[in-house]
Amino acid sequence: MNAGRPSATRLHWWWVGGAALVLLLVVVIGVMVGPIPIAPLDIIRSLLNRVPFLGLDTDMSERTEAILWEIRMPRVVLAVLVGSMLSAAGAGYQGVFRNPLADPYLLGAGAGAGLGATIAIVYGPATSSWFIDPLPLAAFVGAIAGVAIAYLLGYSVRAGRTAVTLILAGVAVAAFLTALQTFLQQRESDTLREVYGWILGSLNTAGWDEVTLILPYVTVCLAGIFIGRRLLDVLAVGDTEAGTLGVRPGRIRLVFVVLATLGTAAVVSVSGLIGFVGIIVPHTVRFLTSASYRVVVPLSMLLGGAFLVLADIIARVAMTPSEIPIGVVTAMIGAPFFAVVLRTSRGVVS
Amino acid sequence: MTSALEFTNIEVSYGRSPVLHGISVGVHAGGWLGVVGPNGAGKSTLLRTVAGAVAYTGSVLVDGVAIGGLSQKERARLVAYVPQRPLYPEGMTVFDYVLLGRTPYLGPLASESHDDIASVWEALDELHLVGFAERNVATLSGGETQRVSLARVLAQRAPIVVLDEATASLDVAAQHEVLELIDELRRERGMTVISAIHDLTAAAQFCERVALIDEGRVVGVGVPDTVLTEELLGRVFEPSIRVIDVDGSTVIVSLRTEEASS
Repeated sequence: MNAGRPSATRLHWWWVGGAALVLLLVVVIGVMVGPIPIAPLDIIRSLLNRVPFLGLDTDMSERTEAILWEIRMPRVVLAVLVGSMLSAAGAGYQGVFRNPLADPYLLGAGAGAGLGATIAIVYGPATSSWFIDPLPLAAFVGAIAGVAIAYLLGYSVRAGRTAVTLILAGVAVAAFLTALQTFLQQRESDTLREVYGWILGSLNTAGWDEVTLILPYVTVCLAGIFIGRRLLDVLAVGDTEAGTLGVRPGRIRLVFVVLATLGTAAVVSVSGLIGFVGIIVPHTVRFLTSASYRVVVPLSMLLGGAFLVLADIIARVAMTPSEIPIGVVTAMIGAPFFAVVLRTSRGVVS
Repeated sequence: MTSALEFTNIEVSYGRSPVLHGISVGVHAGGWLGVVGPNGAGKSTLLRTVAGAVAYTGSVLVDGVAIGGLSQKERARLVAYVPQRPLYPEGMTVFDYVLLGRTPYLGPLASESHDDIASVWEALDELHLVGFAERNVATLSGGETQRVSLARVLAQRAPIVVLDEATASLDVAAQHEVLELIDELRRERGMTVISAIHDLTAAAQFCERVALIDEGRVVGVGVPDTVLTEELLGRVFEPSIRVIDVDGSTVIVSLRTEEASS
């Protein structure tokens, strides 16, 4: 009787295929664009050349090869990882907090990372004298500490450990950490430029080291959010009803906050605080496809990566030879784009 | 798949203020217990104890098994709950909403099987909602959303169904239709229904047993004829309540007093 009736919660293959194609296309463009243009065919040939036992010859000069593999490729790959992670974390937060304005920095991850980075810049030793660069470490620790404080504060509220108390705790913690950060920054005003440069985000120091540094975190966190995405739909009916459906909303929220925070802390430690991605990408996906997190989460991962590569291309080429901070680009390009999506959408979220 | 439900000496407090004072009441397997009483009497709170949505002392037994000792998931397989004002998430399709009823049968990392999907279509079929499957659940009318909630209850396949004011916001015709539907499902599937209900006439006509609650205590319990009397209702609500027989059916109304209408 039910044969031929498709499941209504389908993640259509053409959605996934389309998003993957967009990502691939943007990645190729991202690698092509720069002071020395590289032809797409050369890129594909060079890629195939790296496949073991294939041994395809390229007529690319060694210098171009180095630019491709040591400069552009790691930067584009890093943009994909950062964009995917911020978008997935944003979608996860919007789900567990049932709040369309939630973004990965909601519970103090952004403010904590900002304070950590500022402390490292203001008080840190000359980075070259250290075995590891203290700035990413300080940002990473700051982000996790910020969320941990907000979570413990929200959890200690006796009246109820609801999504709202957590958000309010996050707001308080973020305000406090931002005040500390601003205070430090004002006292040491000679570091202002460096601090702002970091806060607005950039991928221009990206190398394979950064990629390998964050890859484990991003892989685990993306996988976790992907696997648990069905539970975000259950939470959409509210904590009480979700509880009567046999799940534990508080525990689900904690798991998602841990995953989103770990992933966000890892990516901001190498990219700075790139804003807007975590809000705009999931909502655009929602408008264009479905409100179900089974659809929103995977498509946000693919398109979030594509969006950030695109933003990075603009950051690199718009004002050559200098670069625009990528956080400025995501907001300047993202906001009008999002406004158009909002206006033209007859979509599911009306 | 029928189960009896038994409350024994249920006490609930919100903070320091007690809401339920030792409530004991039961319903046989496949029966329909209506919980009636004034606003704030504790009807919703009593229902929430079965659904595990409130802490209580005393015992709630399903076929002799205390549900307080069950895991959240085990209880969700026994008890389906529709709150007074369900949250219908913006943008969620009717299909996805009904699919949530399968949650108690899924592991935390699992996704729905073909059987789960099939039982959703079955529930939609039964409630004539197949054409609504792709509709946004937040844009449906009151009567339609109640049917969607019942479809989710069916998909959940729980023998006990808890309905908190399922028809409170519906017009007379839609209310009657939903109540008939609940009764039909109960008879066909042998589900045990417990519902808080404001409309005393509806309680008299649909429920097999009625528990009248006032200020957290049971004032009367039994078949509607013995509980929904002018004497008891007059004491709990107001003296002007009349119980009338219309072609063999009980109708309960509140009359306007003479000094108020003059």
